Amino acid sequence: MAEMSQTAEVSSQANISESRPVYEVGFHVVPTVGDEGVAGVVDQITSALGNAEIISQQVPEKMRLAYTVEQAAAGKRAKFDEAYFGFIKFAIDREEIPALEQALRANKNILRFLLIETTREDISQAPRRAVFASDRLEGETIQKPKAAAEEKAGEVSEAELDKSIDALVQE
Amino acid sequence: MPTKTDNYVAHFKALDYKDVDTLKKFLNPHGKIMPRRRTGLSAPNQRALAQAVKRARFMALLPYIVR
Repeated sequence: MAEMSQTAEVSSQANISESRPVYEVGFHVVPTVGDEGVAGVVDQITSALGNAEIISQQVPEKMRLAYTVEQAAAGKRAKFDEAYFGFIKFAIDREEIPALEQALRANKNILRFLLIETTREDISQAPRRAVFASDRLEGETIQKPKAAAEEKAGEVSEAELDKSIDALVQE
Repeated sequence: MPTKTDNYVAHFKALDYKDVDTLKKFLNPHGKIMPRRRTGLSAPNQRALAQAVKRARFMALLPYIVR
């Protein structure tokens, strides 16, 4: 009986977590923290998430920014041309979002972040196909009628050959 | 009229701002979003594209302008 109630509890918890909205936070960690410091910043973010269910995450990787990003710190403007970019996808209660945003904004090691509502399914993990590589599909559609035409031609030739030969012989 | 590129986006279900390589295919050399008549996307997908490009620009994954 005890087991039964436990499983029931677990399933109800799962239902609650699935009904919660799914968010994704993408963030740039300042390059000054170094390769070793990045993990610490990620830990700070995950601790700010509290009881959120983490669905997926990408470990921050160093990348070149498309433009120079400035950050005001201690009365000076620091300019950054590169940063560690990572993201975390999680399910959390809607009420906890403002506190999370505040925590992210207060973190001096986060150069910039983007918090968006998204879906549980991973979009970027879908099988990739190049945008204009659908030429392959075109090739297939062209092939089909070709094959059919060849078959027809073969059938016709046998039956009609006999007929035409007979006609020639009779003449 | 369904087009090749639109089928492609439907295949993905949604455009992701992190998928910069895909987004770049819908930008002109100046980094501007191509119009619908050039991308061939359906109206909802064109809106999703615009949203994704703007998010990518904010996150410095894509430039605002290329001179």
